[in-house]
Amino acid sequence: MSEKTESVKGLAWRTNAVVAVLSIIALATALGSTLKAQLVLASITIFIILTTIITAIRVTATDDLALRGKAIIQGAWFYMSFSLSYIIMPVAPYFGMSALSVGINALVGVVTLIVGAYSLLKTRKETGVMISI
Amino acid sequence: MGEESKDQYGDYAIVEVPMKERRSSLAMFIEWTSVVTCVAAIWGGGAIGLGGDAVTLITAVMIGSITLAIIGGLLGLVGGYTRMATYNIMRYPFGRIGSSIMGTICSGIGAMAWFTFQTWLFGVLISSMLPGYWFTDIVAATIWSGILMMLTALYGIAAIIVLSYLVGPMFLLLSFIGAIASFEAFGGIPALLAFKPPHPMPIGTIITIVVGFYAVGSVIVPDLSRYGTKPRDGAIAWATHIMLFNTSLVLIGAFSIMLTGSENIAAAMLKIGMGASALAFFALTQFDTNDNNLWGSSLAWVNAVGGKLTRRHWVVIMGIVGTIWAASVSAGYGGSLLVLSTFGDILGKLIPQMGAIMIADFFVFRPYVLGLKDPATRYKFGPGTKYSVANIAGILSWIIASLLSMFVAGLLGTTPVVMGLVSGFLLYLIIATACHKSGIKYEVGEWVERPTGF
Repeated sequence: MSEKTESVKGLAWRTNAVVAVLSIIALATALGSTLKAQLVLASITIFIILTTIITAIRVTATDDLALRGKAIIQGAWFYMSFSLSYIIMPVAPYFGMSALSVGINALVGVVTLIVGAYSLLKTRKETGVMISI
Repeated sequence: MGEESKDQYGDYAIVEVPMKERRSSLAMFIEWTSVVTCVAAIWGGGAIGLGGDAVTLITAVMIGSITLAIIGGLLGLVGGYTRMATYNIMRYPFGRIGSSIMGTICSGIGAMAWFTFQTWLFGVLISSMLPGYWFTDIVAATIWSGILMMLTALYGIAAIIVLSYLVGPMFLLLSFIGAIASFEAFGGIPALLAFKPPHPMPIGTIITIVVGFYAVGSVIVPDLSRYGTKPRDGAIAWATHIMLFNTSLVLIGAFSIMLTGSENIAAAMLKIGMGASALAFFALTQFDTNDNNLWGSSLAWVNAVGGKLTRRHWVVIMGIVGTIWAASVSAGYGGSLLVLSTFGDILGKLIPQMGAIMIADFFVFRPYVLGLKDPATRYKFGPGTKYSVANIAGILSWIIASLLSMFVAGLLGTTPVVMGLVSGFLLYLIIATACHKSGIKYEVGEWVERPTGF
């Protein structure tokens, strides 16, 4: 049980670290862009990084497998939801972003969704916690 | 409680939610947040936006939200303690047949009507986003969206929560970003403060509309709060989402119409270049809200009809009826907001008193008149449980409160919602207590619960 608990903790750290790095990459695309683009990407990134930090704290704070599973699943849903914004927001002409930035952001959004889906399914398998928790 | 009930109808429609199916308060919070973050909430704000200045609207929306938070919070506690859906809880204050009738009015038809109007709104949204195609014609879009919206409701609560998790946080972010961008583009706070309403409404009417838009939602809180891990989880989640997000989203809608002059915030966002993709996600959240309406409606019908028709059968039946109704509204009324505000106003006059009577029965009558102090055992459910066929005190209180709300509230200078809530609460306590103390039988007949929960 302890080994499984530790492996779930490792999964949480890995996936959340990947998501945090991806969101920083997305933020970097705002460099040299309009103020509106910088503000919107900064907002999305802040929410995602906050989600990963809160998830990491919740996972570290308990040794209970079910509670860890719950924290990972809820965190994954939140960053997946926010990552949808990377796909739909930058494309709007209002933000005035270049096609390359729009493409990178869309890619970051898609990869985050894939990482989130993996995290959800793996956590459900390892912990038995339902994904609609 | 006797033997354990079988979940014959699905999603524990008329039986207790077991421990293994209980969910976190965050799941409930995000589900309700997704429900309120629908275009209707924002367009609801649009419907009141021309009726008052900024300060009046903020005051009215705050009062309306506090009212909703209290009603839904208390009812959420009832759901948390009993682990039963709203229509089962109604078996005590209204009797077994009374619960069928009230449940049908409140949710069987009420929530189905919401499904209808939001399907219609979806048609309006799609036709404004992508004009000129046969499948984006308002009637065609209404029909195919109605069919799609049945899918998650058909699958059940797990699918509804998953969809809420996926779109809820994103939609909140988009709403606030979209609102800030629109307000900035159309003059911002100075223009807002300088706004003079062209069709001023009394503040009471505005409060009624705000409460009316979410009246069904606040009364059917136990449908979801019964899933909470702890009894209070649902109540806390409900009150939090109302005060944080119902307030802000309705105001976003109101301010948008004040600043942009458009009753369609989606059109305002398009105008400033926010892009059709943002509107597509508005549409997705519409889905997220509307599946919940259909799900609630199906639970009410199971309680009313029983038999071989399960929750899924009712989702399909009500979904088809609602879609046909929505298509006919699309053909007849076009994109008018009048339909929506009239609908909200009627609900605001009929439904809040149901919640007030349920609150009066659970929190006052049973503990302080009947002496049932323990909230966890105040209502009993399960095979063999005996209910009255009709609770005359509850039904009579609701009829009188509804009449007062519709015809007398205006004469007394109060709002229909306040009249319905206060009169329903007091009338039930007075009638039930007087009957109990004087030995008059107010609970008529006997209904024994079957193993299926019916």
